[in-house]
Amino acid sequence: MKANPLLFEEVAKVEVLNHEQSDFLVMVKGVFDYLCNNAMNDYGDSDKQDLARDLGGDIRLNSLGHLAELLEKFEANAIANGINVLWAQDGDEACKLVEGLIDKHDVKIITKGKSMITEEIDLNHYIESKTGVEVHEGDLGEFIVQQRGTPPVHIVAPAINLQLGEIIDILHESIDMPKTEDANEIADYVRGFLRTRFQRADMGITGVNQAVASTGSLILVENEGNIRWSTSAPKIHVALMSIEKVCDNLADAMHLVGLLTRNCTGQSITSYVSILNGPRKENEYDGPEETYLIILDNGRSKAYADSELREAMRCIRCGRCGVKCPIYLQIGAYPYNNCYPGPMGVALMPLLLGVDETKHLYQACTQCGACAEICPVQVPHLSLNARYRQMKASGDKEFKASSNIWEGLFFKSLTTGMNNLGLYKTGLASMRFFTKNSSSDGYIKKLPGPFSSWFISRDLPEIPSQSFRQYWETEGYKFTKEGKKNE
Amino acid sequence: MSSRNVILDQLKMYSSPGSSQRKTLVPKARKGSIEIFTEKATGAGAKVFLANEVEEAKNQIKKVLEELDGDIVYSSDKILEDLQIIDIAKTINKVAIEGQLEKKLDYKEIVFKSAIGITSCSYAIAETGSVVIEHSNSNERLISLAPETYICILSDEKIFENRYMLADILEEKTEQASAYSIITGVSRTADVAMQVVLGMHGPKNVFIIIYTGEL
Amino acid sequence: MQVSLFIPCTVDALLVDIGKDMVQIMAEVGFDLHYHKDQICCGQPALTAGYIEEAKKSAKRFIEIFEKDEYVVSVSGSCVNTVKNDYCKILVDEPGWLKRAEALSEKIFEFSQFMVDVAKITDVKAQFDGKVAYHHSCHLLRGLGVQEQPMEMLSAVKDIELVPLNGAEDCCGFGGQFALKYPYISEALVRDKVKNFIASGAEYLILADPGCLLNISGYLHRHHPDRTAMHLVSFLAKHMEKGVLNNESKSLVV
Repeated sequence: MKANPLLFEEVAKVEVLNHEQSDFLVMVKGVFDYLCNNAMNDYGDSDKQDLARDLGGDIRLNSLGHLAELLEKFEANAIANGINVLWAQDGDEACKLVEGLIDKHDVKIITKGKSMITEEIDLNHYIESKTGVEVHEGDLGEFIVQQRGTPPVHIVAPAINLQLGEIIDILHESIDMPKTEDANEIADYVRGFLRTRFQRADMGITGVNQAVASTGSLILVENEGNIRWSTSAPKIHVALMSIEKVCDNLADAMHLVGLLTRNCTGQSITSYVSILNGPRKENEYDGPEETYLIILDNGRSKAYADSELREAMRCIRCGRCGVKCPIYLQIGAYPYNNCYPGPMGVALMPLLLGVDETKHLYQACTQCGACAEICPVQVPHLSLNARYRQMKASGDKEFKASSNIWEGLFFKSLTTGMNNLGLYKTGLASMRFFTKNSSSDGYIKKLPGPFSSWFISRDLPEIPSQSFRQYWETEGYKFTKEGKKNE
Repeated sequence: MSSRNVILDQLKMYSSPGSSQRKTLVPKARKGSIEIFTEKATGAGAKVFLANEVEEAKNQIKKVLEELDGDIVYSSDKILEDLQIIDIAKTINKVAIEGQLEKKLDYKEIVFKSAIGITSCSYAIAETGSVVIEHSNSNERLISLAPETYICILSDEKIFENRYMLADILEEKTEQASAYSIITGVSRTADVAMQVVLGMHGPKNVFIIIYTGEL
Repeated sequence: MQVSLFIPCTVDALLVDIGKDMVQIMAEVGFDLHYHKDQICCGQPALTAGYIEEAKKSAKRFIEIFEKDEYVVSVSGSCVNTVKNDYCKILVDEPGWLKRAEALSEKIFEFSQFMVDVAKITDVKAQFDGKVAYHHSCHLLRGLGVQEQPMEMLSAVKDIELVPLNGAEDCCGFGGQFALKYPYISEALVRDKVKNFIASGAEYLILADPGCLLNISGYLHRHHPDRTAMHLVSFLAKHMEKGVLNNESKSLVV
């Protein structure tokens, strides 16, 4: 999928009317809240849970503070383990590296473990268009949306917006599944279909949840087994990770995994956590013969230069913020039009795609703070959002932000007016005058101009003939000690 | 300049001073409780049995196997050898193949057609009910993944309290295995309309047989 | 006890009654109330839109007006949040101003926060025989950490039944400019808020922020004119017994 968040409004207007979807997402929110809160209780009372989040934040902060050092340490240990480490500055370079490996190893069938980074660089599409190699998503949800030809709607539950009926139709048409409403039978059919692909695949492609510097290990988390298959059966394993996914040691990684799964699916741990140290050794019968790791920058190192913006890279992709975001729950993932829908992408995408192109992501936000409050690694969503708005207001070459002259003038004059009592009073009086005829029963039903959109669904109380300050001028003396005495 | 150096140079310009090394305080590894392990593993969909000595362990394995259809593949491993899996299988007319003894070419075929996989287990985590399989020249990756049923043989000595202790133990090993799988119950998915389905791509049934003492 | 009133622009111009209602309650308690006539706006609209230089101008003017006061109290959780939390962030590069912003930050409170935490008054001697529900405004709840205070004040009302509100902590969809830029999303949010209010069976939806009030009552007036959302101060002022509180609390506050 080519990300184009500028289409946000168009898509959002359609999606917001999809009540079936929003009702379902609200139900999902209830379920996730219940499960995740329960799982966080493992840490103890709310103070202990805060401590766990603090530690998560500390670990991420340490990683970001020492990113180069940790990456080099990790790289050295990974190479010692037998992993081939490759670097890519952008998505195109990463895709070409994968293409090169497909050629080199004469790959015919690829299975994938669920991975967001490959969505970020649109790897599937690249492979299919350049090489004609079969690519099979291994995660059931990803598999369904792959058949449907739409991007995943939620990072953890990619097909969560699809009703059972839709899923049945998609799978019936694409892989000839006999129609059944039994989730067990559906899963079983796809299990059988993918099993033959897993067995025959010669390359497995996955992401990475954490790379451990001290041991050179890759840690991958999942429930279904698609990652274990993709990293155990094919002769080649290619893992991709973005530069920020590294931590110092295994205990840190384990803590992050604990926060990740508790906030992602509400589990203390997922069914499978793989600690991969590289290809099989000489006397081993399975596991990949070659392991490649592609470390991808894709605009992150540029953001790294700014100590405030770099905080966007704390994220460990649990997706908990999405389930808390009121906007996301109304419109679903499609309007965001990038692989990290909801607050996760609001925090990150302006850095990767530019501030102009992503303006709807940070503007279509009420800054309610529900995302920041729940985040297990303390991503400062609100400050990042404020920063993007500031960049947009003042312009920023580095991150492609161009200011809007008219809006700038509006806020300049608004500020002048709001800081000058005479101007303010005149402004208020004229507003009162101009709206006088628009109101009935104490409410304004409609106004032209920049406020017109308010009245699509709401009324506005009419402007009272006496402002508070006028009231105080005549009555206020009664409420001061002085005034009371005189009375 | 290589992409590697372009990226690292940019990062180095803005790194914080000081060392990146950090030490999360983890208590020294302590043995975890069998009861907690059993409760958590059961909660995650595994069936857990406790055997006090070698004969009881063999009996448990036999009982589990009797209920199941299909062939067995097991990893070549001292513990499984001591338990004489192959003999147990014979007594109930089952075929059991040691994964590694067959010709390399056939290994995958054997694993893919076996209905039951058996391996031993290097560590376990009580707080989550997880078993930790060390994949090296024993306990192959696919044996605990491909067959519909997976049986894990675990010594109670290997159960530790929590995941941080496991991290410290692995960290201190001089030689890392090529991979470790932390397995907690059965594989699962909720991708179809949020309904939980047990047994997605991994085993649908997981049995854990804990033995105490020496075999 | 001297209290300086911070009456935000929305209240001065539009929601005058909630300003009066706060005055009425605080006067009943016996506070010595002051109002700086030159106050206008805290600068939140410019700040939210990203116009930080403009916001700084408003912040400095606001600080100059209020910094000598002992306590500053307002009916707007959102505006208090701007002064209490955001001023220090935008003035971080100007040490002199930062110090003044920090000092003011310690002294400014939202109404219920001031009443319960500072003045230690939870019961304003009101009586209401019926059900109400409380909506948690985002900037109060997550910005100022004000969660229990308004609920405690409501619970202290005689004969009242405070009923649970589904999604009470969810955003109502106001968000300042957001409501104008994305009216269709904003509408969906306020629609759900109102749906939950109606389902709660409460007679009034009580809240403590002018922004949420404009949004929710504006939607109610259009779609459910028989339903009422009300600011906490208005609800309390309306149902207060006059003259009781003053005698009881004199010792506390004078």
